[in-house]
Amino acid sequence: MLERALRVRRKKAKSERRRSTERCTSSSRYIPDDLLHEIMIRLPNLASAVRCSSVCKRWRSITCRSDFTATFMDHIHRPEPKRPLRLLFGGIADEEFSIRVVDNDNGMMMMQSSSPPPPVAAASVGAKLLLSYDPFKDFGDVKAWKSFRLPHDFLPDDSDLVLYYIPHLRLGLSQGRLRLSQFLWDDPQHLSLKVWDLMDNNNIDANAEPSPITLVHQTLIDAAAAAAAAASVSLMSVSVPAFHPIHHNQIFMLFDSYLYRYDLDTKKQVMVAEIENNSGRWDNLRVFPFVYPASPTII
Amino acid sequence: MSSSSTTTTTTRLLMLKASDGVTFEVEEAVATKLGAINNMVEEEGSEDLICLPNVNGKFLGMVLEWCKKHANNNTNSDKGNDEVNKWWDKEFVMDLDQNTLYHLLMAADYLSGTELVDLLTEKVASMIRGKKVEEIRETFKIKSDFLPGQEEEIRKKNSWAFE
Repeated sequence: MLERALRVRRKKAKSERRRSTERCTSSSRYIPDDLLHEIMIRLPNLASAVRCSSVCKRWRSITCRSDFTATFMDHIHRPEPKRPLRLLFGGIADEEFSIRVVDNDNGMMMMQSSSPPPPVAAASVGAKLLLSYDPFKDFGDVKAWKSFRLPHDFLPDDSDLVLYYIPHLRLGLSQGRLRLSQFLWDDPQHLSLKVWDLMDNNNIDANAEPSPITLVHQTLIDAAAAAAAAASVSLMSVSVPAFHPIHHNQIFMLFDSYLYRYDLDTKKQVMVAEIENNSGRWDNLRVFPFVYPASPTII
Repeated sequence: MSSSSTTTTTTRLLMLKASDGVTFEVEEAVATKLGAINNMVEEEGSEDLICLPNVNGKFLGMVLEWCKKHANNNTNSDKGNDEVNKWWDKEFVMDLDQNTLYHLLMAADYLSGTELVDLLTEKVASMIRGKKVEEIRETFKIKSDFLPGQEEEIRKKNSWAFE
């Protein structure tokens, strides 16, 4: 039994090594693909992994494996104290488009002017389908586009869609998964927040039943408590501008011009920053759910 | 898990035989740091000699050295053990040449030494970290095998990663 177990492992190791030697001519060729994969998911950021993908064909094939992004995300969750999380906000204030960067750790706000941020998933919600685009793929590539059927109970009625005000729906990424939130007034005192995740990253079938998009959080937010912090709260002034890229149960909420980090489990909120501008209000605040460190997409 | 052999006999000695015939006599508690050995011991409780035809003596010795250190440190219940282990791990991988590093990594993987695989893959990843593509190729002695234009295309698509 023992001998047999060893033989199986030996056989496996042999075949892996043979496969590796065919493609690469370096001393690292001895390393089987599986171990090279283990090495690359331990890189500190996505930029490093992308650079690895242009080293040689073999390395590229490893970073392009379907399970790469998911396993990479598992490893990047370890905190990196030197690189604080940053949120990027852009909007039209005082008739000018401007961008603010919020540092999550100390609430300091800085202007972002120079290099553009790395791309993140872009997506939009249609009546029954969620359409997403993977910015790491070529725009014309059919595989870059995916649509998912929304859960049955996502919208109460098709005709209600036009009543939706855009800030009440938010698309973004958390732990590398496509995430969607929905805001509704339950009654005059309570805001109802639902958060959905695209759970199955592989084998996505647009017409799959049930929908691959699963409700992960549903919570009532006491508007009175929220209003105590912000001067006044109305439906139009509340939105979820971004999801925490790492902590699954945290979101960022905007009450008027105050940005809070909100914990869905403890229902506690911490003010992160005030998104101020000269006139004190944003006419058309467009918030980009861009986050640092950049999270790769799995869509 | 149902076997009691690992819990009751802490001083049992195992013989591990490498591919080149070199044998090591190690305490069971040390050898079972390796998942593969642990499985064998649990399955075949009676056998004391384990042949490992895929690892040569040099690398098996190094793997066992690591196991010994970690098994010893873990038996002490001192608070600073994690720190000691970390410091010792750092020393362990510091001066390894690439060839040794790769063979050790494969030996650790073959023997299912999960923590050691973690340590060694981290070490290799640290050699990639922060390097430009050309520097990575130089470090790992890899020649680009992309067709003309292919590499430029990848770079163009992901220009933000190459700044």
